[in-house]
Amino acid sequence: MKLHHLRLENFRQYRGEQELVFATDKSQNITLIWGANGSGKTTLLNAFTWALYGTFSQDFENQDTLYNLDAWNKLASGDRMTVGVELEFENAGQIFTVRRESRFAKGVDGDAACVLDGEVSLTFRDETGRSQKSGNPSDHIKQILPERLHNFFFFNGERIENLVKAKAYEEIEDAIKTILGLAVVERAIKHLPTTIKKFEDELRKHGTDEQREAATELLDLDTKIEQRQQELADSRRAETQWQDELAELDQKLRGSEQSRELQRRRDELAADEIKRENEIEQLGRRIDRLIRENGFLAAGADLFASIRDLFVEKRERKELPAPVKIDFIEDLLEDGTCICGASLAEGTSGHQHIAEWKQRAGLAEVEERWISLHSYAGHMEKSRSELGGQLDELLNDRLAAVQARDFIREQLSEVSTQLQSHSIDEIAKLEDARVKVGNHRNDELRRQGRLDTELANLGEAKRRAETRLEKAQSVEAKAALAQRRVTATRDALALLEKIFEVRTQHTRTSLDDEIKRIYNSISYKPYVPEVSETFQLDLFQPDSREPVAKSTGENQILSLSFVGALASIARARFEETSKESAGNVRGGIYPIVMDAAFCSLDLSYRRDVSIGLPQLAEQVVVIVSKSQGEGVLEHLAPRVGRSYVISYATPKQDAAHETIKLADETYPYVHPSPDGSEYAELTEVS
Amino acid sequence: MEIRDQINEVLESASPEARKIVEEMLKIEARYIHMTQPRGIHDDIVEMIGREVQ
Repeated sequence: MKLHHLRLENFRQYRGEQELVFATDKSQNITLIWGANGSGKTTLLNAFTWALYGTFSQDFENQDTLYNLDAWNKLASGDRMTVGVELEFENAGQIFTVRRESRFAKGVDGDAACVLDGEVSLTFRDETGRSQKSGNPSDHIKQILPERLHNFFFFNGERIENLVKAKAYEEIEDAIKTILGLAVVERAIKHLPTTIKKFEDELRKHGTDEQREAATELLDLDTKIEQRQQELADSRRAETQWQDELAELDQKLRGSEQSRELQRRRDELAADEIKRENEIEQLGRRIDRLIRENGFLAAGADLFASIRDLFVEKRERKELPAPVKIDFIEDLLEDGTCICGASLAEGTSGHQHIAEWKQRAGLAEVEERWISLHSYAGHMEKSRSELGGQLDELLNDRLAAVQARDFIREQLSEVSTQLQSHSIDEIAKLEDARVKVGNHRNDELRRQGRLDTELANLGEAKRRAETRLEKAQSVEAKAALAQRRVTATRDALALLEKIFEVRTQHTRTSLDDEIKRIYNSISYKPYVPEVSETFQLDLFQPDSREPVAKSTGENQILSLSFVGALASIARARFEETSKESAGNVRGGIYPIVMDAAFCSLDLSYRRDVSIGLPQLAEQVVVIVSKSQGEGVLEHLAPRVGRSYVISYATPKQDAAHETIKLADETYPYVHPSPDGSEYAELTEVS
Repeated sequence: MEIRDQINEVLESASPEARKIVEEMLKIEARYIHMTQPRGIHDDIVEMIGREVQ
């Protein structure tokens, strides 16, 4: 999706017709728009979303009054006014024009009656160059840029940092699935159980008692699993909200001079606690492994001792080594002569005597086995004693780590107590709130643990019931067919779930790599960003993996890195699927349109963001005020392809004339309106 | 392991019938993807499985 131009007609502040033409050159991919506060910057951002989806951002006030008030006031009673936004863009080689318009009629008392409410049309030029009108414009637009993705590409810089909040994980996960075209798989997973239930009903109708019982049990288990999964999702949502609240309270405590030191201490202790937790977990894993691989040695003590005793006993009885070998006896008997020269012919007393020895002689093989068994038992006894030593050492280390962690927890508790009893009321209240929020979060974590265990048990029970159903013999042909359909559909569902998991995790890894790359190229801090298994965005210290207490600047850079990574993955996916099959294209090439790009960032972060912006997407539209743009232009200038100023005419007649100097030219920025009206106009910077 | 190899491994572990159902299922879902409440989709799925598993 490459933006060509945006045309506004009497849309809010923009009187008459106004046009923005966007930079499309790859080396100069930035369109920079300057505007004073209240001049119509947010309106521009909302013009995109209104044209595409008919929606506005939450901070867009008076959403019902879309028409330009100045033009409206000049309209005669009974006349009508059209408000429209037209966006032309290119996608996959085709040129699209989306136009949305509303029409208002002015009543005799000046009231506005809406006679056309946001009607949308979409035209595009096909391969032959002919213009065609889309029969399903809304669906068509959503195919190009799915609605649930637009927040990531058309956004307000001041709010983008919300992406790094824990509760954003669902939004992030959704975006990933949409980009990958996984929504199709996800919906298939959602729809198949209904079909399975239908076939199971047939089985209950025509099947044997055993089949009926297994099918009913499966139905019951499916219901329970669905309920628990819903509870787990609810709990995760609640827990992330508590987590965000905790982060906000911590930030407030860090911000107050009176609590800063104690909060800093808590941050350090919390980082230490994580380190200790990791250490305890690692030691636990080592202990588990040692027991798994060598634990049998502990149970073998009696066995090894009895082998040793038996061996000693046999030696004492001179059975080991055997006094004479069986081969030697057999040779003598075969030879018929003893070593002393006596005859050993059959029937002689010598033959009988030597033959009796045969019973007492030992087999060389058995002897070897005894010796090797004895040596093995000795080795095992030694290993057993070493295992004890290793286990003791690991258990001691774990105990020390647990004690260290518990000590840290005591110190954390002390910090909390000190804050709760702080002489400044506000700080004490903040800490009280923090304790409550922390307890709520812990409750949710415990609930999740219980639900995980329950789900694992239900899953196991379901597998057993499925096997029973699969093995049950059918009597009626209809039951046999229903049974096969149930089994095949359940297998298909399991297959879809596995595919979904593999693809989601693979994308998470790619996203993680891409965010790391972009973050490192933008930020001068050495921190390491990470997308967790549950799609949460975090920032860590480079070596210790301690979480970084993020500032607004860090959050914004991290969020921008995420948006850039998303654009990059969408593009890669688009190119990949375009080659694969024309019918199932997913992903896309998306622009980034950003209002208040540099909001409250300090200069060093502004510099970083302005250097990083051009590389985030193929096309970037940046909307800023003069103050937000300070320290930015020098870095952005080489990449700016087009630039505009929103000239704002204020009805306030005593307002000072304000100008903006760009490329050696001066442009009106804010000025009193000559006729007392309020409007905005777009002027291109030459 | 490459994503394609992982997916192939997953597919190979399934029965030919399950693979076919998945393939057909995705085609049905793609047809209904722009409908929030896809009316008629369940009939299509039942018909498809009835056809594939005889």
